[in-house]
Amino acid sequence: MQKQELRSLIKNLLPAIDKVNKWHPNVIDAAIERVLIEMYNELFAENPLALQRFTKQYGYGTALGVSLEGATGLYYTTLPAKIVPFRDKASGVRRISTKVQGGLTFFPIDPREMDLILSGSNVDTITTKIGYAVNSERVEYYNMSGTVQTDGVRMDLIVPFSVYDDDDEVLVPETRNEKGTTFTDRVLAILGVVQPKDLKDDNAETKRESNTAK
Amino acid sequence: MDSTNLISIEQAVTRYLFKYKRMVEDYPIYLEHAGDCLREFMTYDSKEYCSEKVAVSSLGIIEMPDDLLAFKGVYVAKDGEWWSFTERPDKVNTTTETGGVETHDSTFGEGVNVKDGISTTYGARGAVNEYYYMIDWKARRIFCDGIVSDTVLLKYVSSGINFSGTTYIPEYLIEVHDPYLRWMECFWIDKYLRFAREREQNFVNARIKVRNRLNALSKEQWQDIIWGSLTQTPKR
Repeated sequence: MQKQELRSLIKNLLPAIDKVNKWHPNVIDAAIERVLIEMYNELFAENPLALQRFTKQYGYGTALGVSLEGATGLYYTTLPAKIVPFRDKASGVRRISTKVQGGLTFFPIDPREMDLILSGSNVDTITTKIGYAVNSERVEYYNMSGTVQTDGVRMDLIVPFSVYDDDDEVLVPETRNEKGTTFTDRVLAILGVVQPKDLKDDNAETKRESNTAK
Repeated sequence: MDSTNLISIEQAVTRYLFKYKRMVEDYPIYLEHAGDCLREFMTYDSKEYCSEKVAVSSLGIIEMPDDLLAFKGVYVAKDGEWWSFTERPDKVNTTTETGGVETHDSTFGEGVNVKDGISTTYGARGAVNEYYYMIDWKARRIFCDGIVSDTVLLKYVSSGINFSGTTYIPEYLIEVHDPYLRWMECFWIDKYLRFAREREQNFVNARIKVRNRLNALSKEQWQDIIWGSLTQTPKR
């Protein structure tokens, strides 16, 4: 379902809180984002590999650049979008590939592991593969090769709802929590506690228009 | 044509991840253990060794290769076969530095050839060799006797881990490699810890299986041994 369709679905399921039933789209988006992140984490707990199906792809048309930071000697790529963090090493960067599809080239790595590997290990002697460590702003690489640096990389990211464009497809995990509630149940539950007086300003015709335009 | 007999150690690990549905994020940990497995196999089980032509310096010294794990022998060619040096553990293994240059101080016995006892009567035991060697493991040097400024053959057991190129393993080693990784992963994946003893046994069994095959003799080899021990007699 497209982002705008999801928003519209929720809006139409909401109870009429005033005569015109005008909900601020940002309020709906924030609730959807919160529920989606919750569901991604439930999916992660169940099977981290399943997250791959909910990624947004970057660098497939034009590869993402790899830069060298002179002061630290680190190779890195600035994240092309905000990510949803997860507790494994890959975090929200579920996969990195070479520009042209080949065998496994990248593996997620913890920065402390990177230190240990570089301190003398079989891995440091043997491997030709590239490790990537994710932080909030960028992805840092271990053992970056000249060819990959020149060609750039592709990334599959789990991004928050706010990152999607209105006409982007947003896949919703079909998970249920212990209470058996679905995606729409959960979003509506969040929006159900929003007091009408808090929505009053947002429901002003002019503000809504400006927000819609935004 | 069938698949090649050698695969890279990285390929062995990615195949393991694929076969047992393991996380790519553990790739470097598996690779580290795979390196240990290879080293253990090369040290204790494999019949594989390196034969390398190495230089004997003007001081009669061979510098050990970086990947030398265990020493097998030093040889020179003689009549189409390798003639092995004899170990003399007490050969003098010091050198003297003069003006920043490493030399021998013969008054201290450095560089002096070992003198064999000679018997001219009956009852002499053993034999003498033209070439001797002494290994200094600490300095990772082999001190030769009877040869200087020349090239000899060094046979040694390597760690199998290549410092300058791709590290390969024989494909049959997968039989040992996979059980080894399955055993080792018990020590960092908590849910598998209870299987550690069972998996250790699986690894031992796999190792014995491969050792048996490596050490087994073919029918022709058995024939040669048996026929070699027989004495020919005139045909009557």
